[in-house]
Amino acid sequence: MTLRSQVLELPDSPEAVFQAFCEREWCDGLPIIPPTPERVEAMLASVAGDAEESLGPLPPLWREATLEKLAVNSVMAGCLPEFFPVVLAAVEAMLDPAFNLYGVQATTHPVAPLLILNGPYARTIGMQSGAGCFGPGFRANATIGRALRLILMNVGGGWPGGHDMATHGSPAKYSYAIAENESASPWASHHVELGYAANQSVVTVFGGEAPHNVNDHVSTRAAGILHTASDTAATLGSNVKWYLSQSQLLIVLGPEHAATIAADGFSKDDVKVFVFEHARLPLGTLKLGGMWGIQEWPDWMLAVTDDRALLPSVASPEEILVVVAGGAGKHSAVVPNCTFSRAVHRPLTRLRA
Amino acid sequence: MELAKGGTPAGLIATVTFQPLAVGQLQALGVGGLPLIVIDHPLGGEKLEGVRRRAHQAVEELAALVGVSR
Amino acid sequence: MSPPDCIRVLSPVGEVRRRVLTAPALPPDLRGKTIGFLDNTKPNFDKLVAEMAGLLRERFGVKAVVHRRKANASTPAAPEILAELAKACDLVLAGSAD
Repeated sequence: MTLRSQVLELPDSPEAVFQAFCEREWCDGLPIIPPTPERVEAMLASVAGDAEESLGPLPPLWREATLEKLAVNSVMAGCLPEFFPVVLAAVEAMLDPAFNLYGVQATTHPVAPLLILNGPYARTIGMQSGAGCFGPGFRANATIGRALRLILMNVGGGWPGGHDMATHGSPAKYSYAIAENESASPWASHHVELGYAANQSVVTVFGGEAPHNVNDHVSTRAAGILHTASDTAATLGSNVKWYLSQSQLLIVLGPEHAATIAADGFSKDDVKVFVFEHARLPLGTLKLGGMWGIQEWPDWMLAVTDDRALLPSVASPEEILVVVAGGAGKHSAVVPNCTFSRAVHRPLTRLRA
Repeated sequence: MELAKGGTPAGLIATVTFQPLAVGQLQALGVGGLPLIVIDHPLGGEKLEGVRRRAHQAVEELAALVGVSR
Repeated sequence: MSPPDCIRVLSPVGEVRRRVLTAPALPPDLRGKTIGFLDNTKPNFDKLVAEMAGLLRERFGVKAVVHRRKANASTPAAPEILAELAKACDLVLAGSAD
């Protein structure tokens, strides 16, 4: 295998390698695994495709996402070779024009691509879908999410304050990757809803804010929990609702909330319709700030004059994604998108048999 | 940038904070020669007086660019 | 071969494969020309354009100013808007910032 990347010779100590990468602005500020040619070759050996093959130019600096560069960054992030097919599917998905990766990379908004893995491969590689799935402790989640960030920085060139113009950034920009808790879901899982077979493994990327907590410890009926979720989703400061045509909401239901909702006979579509109808703000509130005056709304919304009228956050119930994840407890989460990027999914196609 | 590729003279107006992003974009897309007019940051949130000052800056820069290309 | 106590590592930075394009030259003089503005919808860009339009007419003898807005700040302009600007204008300036 011929690798083409520039080679550096550094003192062989973890401190020296880490320091050299920090000085060159090649890492996220956390220690890395040194990307030696041998480690990069092992990463590449886990997928079908040549090292030189590019998945496309990555914005904002439009540098080529060759498998070799993706592997180098995945090694640095601490990925095992078997995680690499997931990273590749996520990069393929982020390069879909619908995801608008340039906007996601360059915006002042604190957006990060959330990776959701569905299907059996999540269990094969130990991707956490249960307790604490958004948080620390799980190598697959932590390093796959981190690999995406290092790729966005080193291949795309999205360095904070340089070409990534995020005002504050977000903890989600370090790593943001979960699996759906399919065994705890009362409904068909997300990828089956998209038309895939249950035994296929599929990556979804969603340009979202960090999760907003939905705490409902008292509701014993679907409507109560979904009112709490809807209220969490409809806030003046969220980007969702201003560019309506690309606004999407992701509802991550904890298994206990999902069970309560399903016990009331709600399907996933019922959940979406309920949130669509209730995640609304009155026109008078929307006029207070946010992006009032520069919003991109359909004509019928622009024509509304009654300040008490409740206006939707997304264009239709289909713009609400519902997955089940997390462990025990009466919490769910709402992830608003950045409103200029749409969720994109890709099956894992590069698994080497 | 699409305009420039199609042959229409084109340029960008950016605030100084966004200058590196704009320069990086132009270079990466192979159109590093496109004119970039840089004004003070921010533009949003400024009162009319501040906007006016930036308009003068922009026009001065455009004048210099046209002069150079003459 | 590396010297002892050294480790060989690969650069994680991507490379550009694009070719360099020649930017179309600016018109030598703006007198009698039509200047287009592609508005990124960010607050105050419309006011900046209005102020610049006045100055361009007074100081450069610019004939006309065409002002078109993108649908929103974070997505590319619609092809129809670009086509219209390309047809009508001798120079187009696009907003790219907050």
